[in-house]
Amino acid sequence: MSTLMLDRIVPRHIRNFEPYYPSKPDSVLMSLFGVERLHRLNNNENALGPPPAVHRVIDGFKAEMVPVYPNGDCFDLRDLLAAKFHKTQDQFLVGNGSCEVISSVIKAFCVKGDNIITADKTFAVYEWVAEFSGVEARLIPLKDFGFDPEAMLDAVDDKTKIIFVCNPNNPTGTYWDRDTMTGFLEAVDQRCIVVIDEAYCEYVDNPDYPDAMQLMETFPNVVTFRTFSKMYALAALRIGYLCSSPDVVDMVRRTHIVYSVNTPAQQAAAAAITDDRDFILATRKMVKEARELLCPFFDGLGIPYLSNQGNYMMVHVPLSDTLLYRMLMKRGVMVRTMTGFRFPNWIRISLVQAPVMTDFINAFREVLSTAQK
Amino acid sequence: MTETRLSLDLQADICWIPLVQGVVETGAPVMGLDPGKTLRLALAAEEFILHLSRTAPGTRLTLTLSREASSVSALFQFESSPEDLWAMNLTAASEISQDLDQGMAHMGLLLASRVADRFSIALSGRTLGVTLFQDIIYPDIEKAEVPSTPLRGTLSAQACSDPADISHACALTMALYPEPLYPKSFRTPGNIIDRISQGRFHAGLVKDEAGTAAGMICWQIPSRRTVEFYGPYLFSKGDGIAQLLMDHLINQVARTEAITLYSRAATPDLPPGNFEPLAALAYKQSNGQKETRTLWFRHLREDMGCPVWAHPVLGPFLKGTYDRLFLIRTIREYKDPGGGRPARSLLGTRLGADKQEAFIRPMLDGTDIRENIQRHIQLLVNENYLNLFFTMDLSIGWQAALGKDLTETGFEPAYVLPYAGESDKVIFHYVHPHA
Repeated sequence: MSTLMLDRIVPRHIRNFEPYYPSKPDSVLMSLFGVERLHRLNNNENALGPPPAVHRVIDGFKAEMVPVYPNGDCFDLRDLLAAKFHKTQDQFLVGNGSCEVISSVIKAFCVKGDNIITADKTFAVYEWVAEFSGVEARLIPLKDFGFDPEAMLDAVDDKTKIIFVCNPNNPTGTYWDRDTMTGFLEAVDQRCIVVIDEAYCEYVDNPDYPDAMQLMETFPNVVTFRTFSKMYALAALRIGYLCSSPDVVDMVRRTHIVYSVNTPAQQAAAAAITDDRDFILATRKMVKEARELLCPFFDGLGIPYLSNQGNYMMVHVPLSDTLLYRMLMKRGVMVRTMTGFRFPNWIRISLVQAPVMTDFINAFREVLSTAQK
Repeated sequence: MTETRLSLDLQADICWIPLVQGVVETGAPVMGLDPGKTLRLALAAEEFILHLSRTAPGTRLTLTLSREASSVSALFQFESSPEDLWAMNLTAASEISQDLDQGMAHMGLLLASRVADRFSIALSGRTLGVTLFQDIIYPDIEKAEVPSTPLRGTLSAQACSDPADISHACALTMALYPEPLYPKSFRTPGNIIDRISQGRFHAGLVKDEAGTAAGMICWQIPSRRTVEFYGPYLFSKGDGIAQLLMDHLINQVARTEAITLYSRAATPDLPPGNFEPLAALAYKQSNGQKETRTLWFRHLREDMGCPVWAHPVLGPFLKGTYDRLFLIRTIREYKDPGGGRPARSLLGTRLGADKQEAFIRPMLDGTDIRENIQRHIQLLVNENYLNLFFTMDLSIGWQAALGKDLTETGFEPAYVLPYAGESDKVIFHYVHPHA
């Protein structure tokens, strides 16, 4: 009897980890749900598409460049980032999406028996990477839909290596202001790394929003994550980066895979951050107009919602979020169910152009009417 | 509780029977089985080896004795034709007694299946796994007195594994809810405690600031992608206790592999807006009346759709169900490919206490399966079982093909349980001809 004894080979923490299955391609979903168009409001993508300079990079990418490896550590892009944020090149590491840099940071600082601290209802990848690395993820309940600094500090012990703060938080859109963040970092007192995930920072224009790029000058244990997927609309190219003090980055570099970011992604990212002011303003305007459509709509229905920062909002629906998803999909609208974020019966909606928001409103109204019959 | 298991590699030969007896008789008590049950498991294992020695002498096999939550099991793994297992059918006794010469070879198998509390069969490639279970006996508890002290302070939900808390919550549930609304194992909370300690059962409690239990929710994971829950059970009056329990449950299972969360016996305290009605089942009672029970479900993530096999006779039921539930399925008609179908089928039967329910599921296909289903119906009806159910896995073509046989022998499709197998399962309910 030759049976592969996986139980003996695979570590317990891997066996106990639940694999994640992403959604099927749009074409398959459209066929399954019998619709001819699909509004993607589930992934917080920037529906405006990338800045014009990125179009030129992508259009100009020649087939002759395909056989050549990309630059292994994104030299040119890190140069540009250093110039843009008044730092040095050795303070940046670029990854295949910010998910890769999350993995690199956890590998660099944690071993089995250590722990990381984050919230229970936030971007799930911190928790996932910790767990499948055999590292305990201490999940602190949100307080008033925001990260709870006191409870997070209470959870720190001598095995805590990293604290992840998603600022603004995905999916609630709440954020710690500068005083809260500074007070927290002072209380942590360099005992561990504090990652401030700023995936949606470009969507926030409030004056009290803290900038982790500045904070790390005072607190060298701060690492910030940023991505080109959300504001700059390069999600398909998978590119994100981290920035920290040179000593911290030097450690993370040891666990970070080189050559993982392809050439078009590096070039498109470089183009995206060059002269991006107008593009960011246009995107913010689109998001603001979408909020101005949706908030009065939900107010009129008496349906609770969270409309904070980022290019998304959350809605507490009066039925199962997963049923609502199926009913909306039948009408060609895809939202994100929030049960997986531990917010049962909430949905998250990406804020995009007004005509699409109007389609969403019409579909939502129909679905609610059907469900209430 | 640490996992304990003993393994033995041997050949099907009667000379090994004393060794097998010795392993079971020595190992099972260490794993928590009482002397009477240990003897029954040893007898079942002995009969199984005897059967193999007669029907497939010299076959190499592995016996694994292990503690599984609230039972001790003996697993036999060997390469063999599954056809020989027909004698494990609930109805096999009458066949064997009618033809003793032909039946004697299978008597051991028949005895093994009857002496065990339960058995299961799994076929992986050519390797057959037959597991015989003996359940551990736990002491009964009495219903608790319901406290009248008001709750104090903020309520919060938390996972519960404390034996005293669980036992008390089971006793309160028994005092406040009728029997069909809680599992029979609540009467013997030691069973629940053991299953919780092995991660096979889960409980969440809502408590006030003084530590008083205000409510409980329980769940288990019957298959890779389903979670079945019981409750919510409320022990005090108070706003939001039921919703706190539901949120706790959903949050605990939301990031698992499970897709479907369901209950066959949710209490009336289920807060609205969280679940979808799956079906309303008319349960026959011992007094001849029928009681309608609503089955509830929800998905834990987006439905990505899946293909299902079906006999054409089930087409309208499936289409109607999937349309009503907005589930995306590609219904494929199963056509018998012909070829080597075994002669004898095997049906597994789980008998509920008090003869309220019997659950049949197809384990092995055979050309006699229609007659086998009829024999099972006849036996169970004669034994006065009130509600017969038949479970069909729509990801398995030969099972889906049973749709016609089932509807023609008196079963009606009652409901679809999404993702209970690789795809969905259909649960059929037997409609008594004189009902």
